[in-house]
Amino acid sequence: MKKTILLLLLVFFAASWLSAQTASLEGVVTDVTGSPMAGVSVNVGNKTYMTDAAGKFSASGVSYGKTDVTFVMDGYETKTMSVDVNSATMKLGYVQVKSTTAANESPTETSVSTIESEDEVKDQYVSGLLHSSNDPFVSIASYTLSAGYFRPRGYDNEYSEVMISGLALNDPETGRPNFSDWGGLNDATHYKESSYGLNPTRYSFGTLSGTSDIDVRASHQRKQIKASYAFSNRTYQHRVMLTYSTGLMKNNWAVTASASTRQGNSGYVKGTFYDAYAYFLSVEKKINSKHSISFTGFGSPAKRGMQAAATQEVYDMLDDNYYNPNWGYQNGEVRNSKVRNSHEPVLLLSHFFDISDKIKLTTTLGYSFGRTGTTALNWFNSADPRPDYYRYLPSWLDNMGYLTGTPGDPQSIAAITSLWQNNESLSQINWDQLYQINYLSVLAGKQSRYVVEEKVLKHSQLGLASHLNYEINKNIFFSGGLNINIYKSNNYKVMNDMLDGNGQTGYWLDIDQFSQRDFLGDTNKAQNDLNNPNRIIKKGDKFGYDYDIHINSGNLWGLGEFTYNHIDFYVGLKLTGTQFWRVGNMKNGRYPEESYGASAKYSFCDYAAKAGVTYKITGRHYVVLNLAYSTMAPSFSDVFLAPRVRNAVIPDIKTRKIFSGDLSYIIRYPKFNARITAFNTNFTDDTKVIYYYMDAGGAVGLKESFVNYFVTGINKKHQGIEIGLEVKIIPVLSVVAGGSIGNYRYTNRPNAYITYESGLLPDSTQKIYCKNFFVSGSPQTAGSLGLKFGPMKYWYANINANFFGNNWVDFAPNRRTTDAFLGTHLYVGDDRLTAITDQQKTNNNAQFTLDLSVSKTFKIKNVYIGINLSCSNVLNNTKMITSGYEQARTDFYTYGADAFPAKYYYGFGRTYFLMASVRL
Amino acid sequence: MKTLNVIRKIWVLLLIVPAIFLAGCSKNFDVPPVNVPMFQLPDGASIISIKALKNRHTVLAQLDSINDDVYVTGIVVSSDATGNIYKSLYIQDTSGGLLISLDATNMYNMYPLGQRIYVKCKGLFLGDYNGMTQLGMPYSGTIGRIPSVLMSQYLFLHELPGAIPVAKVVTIPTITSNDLGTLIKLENVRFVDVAMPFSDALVSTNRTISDGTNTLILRTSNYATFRATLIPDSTGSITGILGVFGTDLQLYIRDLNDLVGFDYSTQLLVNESFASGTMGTFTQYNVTGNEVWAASSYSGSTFAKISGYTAGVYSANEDWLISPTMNLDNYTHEVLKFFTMMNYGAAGDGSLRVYYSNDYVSGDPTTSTWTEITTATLSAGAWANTLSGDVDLSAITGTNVHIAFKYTCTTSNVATWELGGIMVKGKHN
Repeated sequence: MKKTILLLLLVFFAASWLSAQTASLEGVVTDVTGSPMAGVSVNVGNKTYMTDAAGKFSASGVSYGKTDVTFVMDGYETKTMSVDVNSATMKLGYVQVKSTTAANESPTETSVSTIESEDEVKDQYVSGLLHSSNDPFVSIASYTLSAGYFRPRGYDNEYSEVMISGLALNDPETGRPNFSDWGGLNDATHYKESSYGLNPTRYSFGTLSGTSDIDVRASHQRKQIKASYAFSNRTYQHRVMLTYSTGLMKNNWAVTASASTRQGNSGYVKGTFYDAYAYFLSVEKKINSKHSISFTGFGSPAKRGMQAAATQEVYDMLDDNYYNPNWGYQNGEVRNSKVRNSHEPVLLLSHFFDISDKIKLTTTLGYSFGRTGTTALNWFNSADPRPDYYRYLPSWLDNMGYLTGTPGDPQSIAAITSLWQNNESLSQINWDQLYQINYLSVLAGKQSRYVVEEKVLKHSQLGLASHLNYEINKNIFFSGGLNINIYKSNNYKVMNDMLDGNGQTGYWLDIDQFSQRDFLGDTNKAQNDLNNPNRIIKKGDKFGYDYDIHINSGNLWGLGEFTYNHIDFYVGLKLTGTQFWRVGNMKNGRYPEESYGASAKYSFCDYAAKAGVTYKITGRHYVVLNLAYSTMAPSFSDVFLAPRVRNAVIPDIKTRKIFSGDLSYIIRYPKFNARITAFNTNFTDDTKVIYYYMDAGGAVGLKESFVNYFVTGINKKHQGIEIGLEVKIIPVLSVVAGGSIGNYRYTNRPNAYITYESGLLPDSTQKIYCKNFFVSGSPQTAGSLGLKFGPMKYWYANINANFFGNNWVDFAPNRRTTDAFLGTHLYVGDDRLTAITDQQKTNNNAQFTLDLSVSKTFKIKNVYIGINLSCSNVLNNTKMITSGYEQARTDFYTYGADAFPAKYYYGFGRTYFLMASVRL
Repeated sequence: MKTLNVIRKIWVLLLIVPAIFLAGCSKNFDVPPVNVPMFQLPDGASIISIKALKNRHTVLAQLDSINDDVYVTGIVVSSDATGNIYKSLYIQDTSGGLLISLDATNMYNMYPLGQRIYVKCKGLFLGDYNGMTQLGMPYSGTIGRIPSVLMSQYLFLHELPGAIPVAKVVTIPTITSNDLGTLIKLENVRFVDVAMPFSDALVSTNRTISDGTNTLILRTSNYATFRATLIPDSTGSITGILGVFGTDLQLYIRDLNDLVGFDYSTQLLVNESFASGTMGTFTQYNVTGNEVWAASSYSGSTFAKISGYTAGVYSANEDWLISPTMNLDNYTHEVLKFFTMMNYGAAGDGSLRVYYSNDYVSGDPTTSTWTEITTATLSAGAWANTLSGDVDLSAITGTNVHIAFKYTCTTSNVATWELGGIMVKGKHN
């Protein structure tokens, strides 16, 4: 690898001596009134430039000959000019773009569903690539296919990066962008500069999947007052958004303010209420022609009722694929037990320094802080309150027959099924009964039996990012920067609701009931905090666990772009240092010696290198090759064995290695625009962690307990082809098509390191037999074919037919071990064996959906009134599973897959989003 | 200026609109009122006594369906809070007690002690498990448990929990089948298995209650939270629910509060069953001869075994089996118990003798001072399994006391001894 880097550096320097004939293109973009437009993406060949506050853009290194220049901006018609480049400096003068008002408001931004793993709430999935692009595939992937949980190239969100003024907003713990931090601020955050895949950018080294830089500079926002109201049946019902932008005023100040609320008593899925607000303020002062200072602050306090996956048995029984076990009636009102409550404000101070015409320095200091909590029911020595607990299902009567293989009594099964279908006090959480049991328990002088707890993550983060853009000469453009990030989070549980009242006050004891059972008679083991043994917990108290995560990181990067007549190329290098550790704030009874205080610090040094070349066959045909290699420190949760209770880490900490490459052929004509790309990415030494409750069922050598399961040394290969094309049939009608065929697979048999959270049994290892299994999380095949109409008298319409296939259920690694068959008499050829080990697709057949959207803008004097209706899944396909996971809990009685089958989330059926907006 | 006005209006809207919604969606839930359940007997239904219901099950192991609309009512006398009573609910009325078999745990929250319930019997079945009549649902042709989801369809609460029925005071010989499933109380009884845990860790365990003459089984689940507690000494009263298994009556306590007047200070100093296949806490020492004490087992019973005979050869032997050290100064009322089985020797031939020492440390016992204990009863031969009886050690004091068993044989007089169940118990000071 060192040789490769050396070679790349040599190329870098050698290239600066080369010279060739290229041209530059300049111009100013304005709206129809002649006002300059900032933040417009100007695509020249396969490169993208942004207009500055004065609407100016300058594209360098343009090859001679015919080339297309495309202007893209949300809310405006996309405009393409064909330019014959025949002199060193091509001045395009003023280019006007027409407003469409709300026509391009993304319909998919609101079709956000929620995915939850068994014990941990994953972040909601939103495509990280929602951005304007003249690449048909990227548009389709962002707007149309994301509703089917399609992720380009099958990459996890942690491989995409979202920044504001060069400062990355990815969560240091998960690596994923925190989209919810700016939820409801669509108007204020929709100017983005994005790059897809490995393509180089000038504000960041880039990531595997793509990078977006949200432009929040007030001077770049369109001068406007805009109010909009949206009505939907997706995750919320009402949205009101107000935005005010001054543009750059004569006193050289610019201000943008925006606020919104999203509200709904119930989304498409029952019980998923929405109660969210958002605020945004950005103030910019242009000090002189060289310096601008910008302050931006925003936040999105949101409370949401969450959805949980259920098994197909329940969905079928209720004939409802959107059954949500999280809610139930309390006093006749719908109450959700799983409420996500988050507010994580971000404050940014940026300095834009135009050192010269050729050199620009952007520096941003950011601070974010806040709290995210998710509530859940907890219970002590009492019956499981979750309605879909497996022993409450009709199938339990069959599955409990493990000793004799006896099927359940058919009359009882029929009776249970009938109750499920007709009695919501049984098919949903029975809050009234939980209160009643608590009442009786407290009356008898005992602790509360049922409570609502909230798992809280409170974080603070200080970040500094600075990058320099230097146009060394006509052929060479250098970008480079540094980032420093100091992060701390405090993780704990807090008592949210004791479910008491009627003159009583309940209490809870801070002990672990599983340890109390497992270490009978040992009063210390069960303590969650030996410093405060047997502490009595009331509403608002911290309990259970309490620890801090510290993650500090820094990186330094540089990227050189070289532009010549027929060949462009780039090389880049990035060095990253990461350090993290844990600090325990409780002395846990299971681990009195290694839970309280700071752990050792774990440091990682990583590097990344990338290079690419574009061969310009003509000004309309390009061949592009990108290559990248990087190492990536494991995440905190990949390393710490049981961070809630102890400082210990897995014995063999591995650094991830990623080698990726893609080769594209791009065609750009005014009426025909297409790209075909073949890609291949190898992940080496990846880690996956699952937490679950082991049901040992009397199997030899196993015990019932919480288990943390670390699969390390995972190798994966993501390869495939993606195609996108757009054909203009007549000026107002285009055919748009795009799709991807992927093959994302596990390529080895990794090892698992298994630890009992309570320390009940010693740690052990297992080999996971998952070679050639499919990577889950996205359909591996997906595509869309659409017609795009407009603009004609301010009318726009889109129709898209989409298909999704080869989406695989996330497999439970512990079912692919020799331990899963411990003591069984299952032999090769037994159907029960393959039922346990074979990986399942979410849907056996490809799924189809149809989306429609229509919009119309009215212009009355200087007021634009926009109406936008989008209808997703018009044909109401309610059979499409967007994601599914196998329960890790295993049935050691029957060794069958029936007792704990996979749980699924279904894509929404027909939904609509109707919006009206006024802009002046 | 006009624009400014518009701006102002919009900002006012900006503040008002969210305020409207604020009231809409963020709910504060009312606390549901305490529910005092009142059961109403449906038209056409009738109530029969528990005894009358149980009398419908007359043929052992038969499954009897209940097809007429009858109810029984009773007060909950069992609790599964400690896990000793498991997936079973006992109610009683004045006529008797009823075991209801339910596929549920932690029922004590829903059906606490003293709760009156009405049971809809139509649709349920009567059967028995080894003679214990119970109400449930069919499972594999016999009586099984009512699924937890269906509990609410057959069991109805009436009013809030009240007083628990007073346990009927009985003596062991006067117990009748009418008492099955009810709460009974035995007074002035003691446990035979003092200082043993209530239950082994892996299987439910029977212990013996004695009134001096008659005995009754106390059965405890290995899942009971108190299963590791050592059975107390002295006499007291025991309250529990009476069950039957075949011909054996069994008593289940709900928790340790059902034992009154007992003395928990008796502990085990030595408890060796040689179940591990090794000498365990004991050590053996071979003074002369080819053979040594070794762990052995026969038909589920484990013990240490020795014989001077191996493969046709008789060797003269002297072999010691020595206990761990005991600090008897910390205890009073020390008692030694063990069992022996002997063959090929003569009763009282002295081939096995019991000793104690105050100065033995380790290794060769013949250099220490040993005093013989002669009060233990030993096997008389023919493999007769013989309990030693309670061997009183209370006269022995010292911080370093060992008990030892010495085996001797000549080449002509060679007995085989099996020795196990060695326990020394005492009251801790």
